Amino acid sequence: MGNIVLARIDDRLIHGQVAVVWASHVKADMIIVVDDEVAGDPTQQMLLDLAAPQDVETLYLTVDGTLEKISQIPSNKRVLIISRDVTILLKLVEEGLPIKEINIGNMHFKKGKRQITPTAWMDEKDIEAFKKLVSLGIKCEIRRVPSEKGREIIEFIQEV
Amino acid sequence: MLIKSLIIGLYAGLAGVDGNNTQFKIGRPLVAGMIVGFFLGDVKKGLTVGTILEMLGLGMVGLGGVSPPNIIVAGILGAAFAIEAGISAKLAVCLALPFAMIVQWGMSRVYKGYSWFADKIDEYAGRGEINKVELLHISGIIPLFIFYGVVVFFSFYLGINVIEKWIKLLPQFLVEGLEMAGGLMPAVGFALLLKAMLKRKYIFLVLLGFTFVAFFRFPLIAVVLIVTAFVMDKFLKERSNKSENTEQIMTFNLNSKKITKKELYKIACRSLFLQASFNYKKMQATGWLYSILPALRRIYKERQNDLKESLKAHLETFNSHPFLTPLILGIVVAMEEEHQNVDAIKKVKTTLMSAFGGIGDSVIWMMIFPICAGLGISLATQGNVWGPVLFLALFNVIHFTLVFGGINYGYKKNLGLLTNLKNYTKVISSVSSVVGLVIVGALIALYVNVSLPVIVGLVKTRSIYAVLDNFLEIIFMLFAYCLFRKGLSPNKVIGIAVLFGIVLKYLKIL
Repeated sequence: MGNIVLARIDDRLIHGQVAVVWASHVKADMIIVVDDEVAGDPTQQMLLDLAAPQDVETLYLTVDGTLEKISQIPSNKRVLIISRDVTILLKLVEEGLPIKEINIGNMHFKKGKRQITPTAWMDEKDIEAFKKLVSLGIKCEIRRVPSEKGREIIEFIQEV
Repeated sequence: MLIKSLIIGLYAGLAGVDGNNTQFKIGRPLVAGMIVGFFLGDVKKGLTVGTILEMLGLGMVGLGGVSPPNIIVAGILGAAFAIEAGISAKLAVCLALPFAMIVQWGMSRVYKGYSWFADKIDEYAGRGEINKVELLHISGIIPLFIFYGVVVFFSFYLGINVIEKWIKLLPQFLVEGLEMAGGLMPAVGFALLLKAMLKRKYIFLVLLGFTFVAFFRFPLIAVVLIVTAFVMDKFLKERSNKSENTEQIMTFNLNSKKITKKELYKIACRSLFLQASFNYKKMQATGWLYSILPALRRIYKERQNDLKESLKAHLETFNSHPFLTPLILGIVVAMEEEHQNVDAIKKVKTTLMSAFGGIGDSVIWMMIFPICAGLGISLATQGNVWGPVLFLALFNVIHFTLVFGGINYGYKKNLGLLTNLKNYTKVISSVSSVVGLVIVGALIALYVNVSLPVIVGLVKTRSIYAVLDNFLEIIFMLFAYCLFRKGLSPNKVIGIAVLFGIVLKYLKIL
């Protein structure tokens, strides 16, 4: 089983904040993008490869195939998981993927979502998923880059 | 004094707008040092302040909407304080830095407040009021101009008196401590840049650049040319050995080419204002629509009903690198012209924006920018005004090629460009990461006082203090590098440098 050093939620998957700062901050050997659409699209994969740091491996997995694939990765590999959607991460956690900490990067405005923090927009499904993750003892922190002060998501969603 | 403050404030307003929009980089400390120095009558001192702050700011760029300490305001105020209050450049740097942090905080408020623009523009677009969309988006530069202008005007106008009065009352150790901290700022900048660029196996590149300049006294430009030639040669050989695998990626041929070159360039010019109403809600979405509108106007001329749908589609959240966005604009304009369906366009747009955002941040901001600025700094450390000029020229040649060449290339080649892009990006990012690291090493050598005679001299004195004194900058740089690796923010490390300087001077250690 690969050593999961960080799981991140980000609309844009691999981009500057991930490629320039997070990957080197957590010393990742491998970035795994969990996204059904990207997993089936070689063009998108090629583009995301370009955005990824040069000596970090990338892997694009479907939600259903993730657990099995990660369990085959040797445990000395440091893995950074990225997904667009918190519900996907919740599903993986419920399947038994050992994620200890979730980093919330960018959750941009979409129709039907409301503003929860200055930089995150969510709907009820997202909020429920976060509540569940927190109740499972997983730290969910809003922090776009490592030098920013992290804030626990629960502070924002409890009162609503 | 009032006139001087007004000029400085006006320049700061322009620099602020440029920093977020046109990005010709006329507000970077290196340039600001020269310009403020010119207006206040001491170009050399202005350049000294500018060089220190430019070194501090080499790795300070906003990634995906996170604002770094505002190095633009620091550069302008630092140079102005140094010249007008007659204090040393290093002290002025320290006094200007708190303003950089205030403006950094202010900018995050501005982006939050600008969500109002996103909502209002949505409303106008929904009613098809295109002219209002354009006007509102571009008017986003006004509050920014006022914000920078007012902050700098008052900080300078009121600050000068305060500084002149109080600086004499400060205890000696405090002034000396601050000066020492000001001198350590470049070390903080190098550490920040190294944190983003350096991997263990590339340490030799930094040492190589350092050695060339420190021990062999090579001019930095010569080092860069030698290294670039060497690396390019190696890459070209490698590439000719490999058989090119040109996988075909979804392409289509365009029959109609209605959009003229002039219109394309108009779109490219508009894209220089991509971030005029940047906000946390939809990031650059409003700027994207503003840029592409001239094309939409023409394409949907006879189909006013479809136009509204299209406006809506082009207002979806967008966030990418401003210099690479024209490439995407070119592709999307061609797709729109072909009447491709909304979903296909949306998919291309969102995929390219993430990828280009990543490439742009790592290659343009973390490699190409420091290379251009580094070359400028290497000249400016000798008080040479060609330093800032060289920096502006180099950087903007690349900038304009990407913006105006990019839109043309994207429009003509369409998605076919992706095959080439893969090859180019690899070469460019490999070459510039090597050159970038060599430059950092060379800049460190320019900054610290290490050379063979110095080392021989130190060995002779056998004094640990002399060694410490000479290597203080390098020691602090390594310390700062460790702090950045731990995830400390630039502001905290700057604060630590200031404390470090004051404590050392208070205890009279150095």
